[in-house]
Amino acid sequence: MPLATPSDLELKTIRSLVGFSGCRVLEIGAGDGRLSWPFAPEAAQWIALDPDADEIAAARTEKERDREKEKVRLAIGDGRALCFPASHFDIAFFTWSLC
Amino acid sequence: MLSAVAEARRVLRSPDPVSGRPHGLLVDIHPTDEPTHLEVWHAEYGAAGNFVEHPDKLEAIHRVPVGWLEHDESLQDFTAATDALAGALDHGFSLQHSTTFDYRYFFDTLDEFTEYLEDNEKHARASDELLERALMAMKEAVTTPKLVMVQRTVVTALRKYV
Repeated sequence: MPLATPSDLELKTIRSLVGFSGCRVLEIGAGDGRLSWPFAPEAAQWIALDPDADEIAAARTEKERDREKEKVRLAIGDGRALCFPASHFDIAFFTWSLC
Repeated sequence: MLSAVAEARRVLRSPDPVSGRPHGLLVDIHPTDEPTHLEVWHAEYGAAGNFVEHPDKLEAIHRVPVGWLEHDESLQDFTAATDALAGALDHGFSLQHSTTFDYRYFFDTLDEFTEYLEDNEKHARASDELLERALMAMKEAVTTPKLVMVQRTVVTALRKYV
């Protein structure tokens, strides 16, 4: 079966470059939350954007809704026009979306 | 500068060396513009093993290169992503880290692979010749094989500077 979740290697590689602990993170191109949920629990705040409403809906599983209440927010959005104030985030995380 | 990078720079905090938090990081992950390729993997000896669950433990895995998938012009999108990051270096970011790794998708059968392509990969196709080579390599495997689609991927971290 193809991998439905991020490979260990992918997660390890990302962790080797960046630590999300305690950070305000803006994820751009989150899709179905494939990379959001493994990292979001470490962050102080995690906002995941994707322009595709279906993808955002897919990311909202029952299990994840509970976690979302705490510090994760999923929203429809485009990285080219962000509705956030300046200097708000510690990390901007483009997940297969910068093109 | 690409507007997404400019927007990211706007909403990012400036670095704060005192707090130790990684303020002002732009992190990007995307496939390289290298075409996706296929391999057949099987354990060198014994049972098939659990290399799918531990794909970074490759010591006892025999890897047979099968060939490349055919892509449409969508690979240019990945080139554009790389170019956008390079452009960011001239617009308020410095390179912190960059590394590449292989993103792997594992399949038990050729049918499973072709179904996956049909359902998920609009921009890539496997030629009949490639599928024939894959089938041959799977038949020749001495232990239970896996068909592995490999996509080279790059992770980059840029730091905002004032």
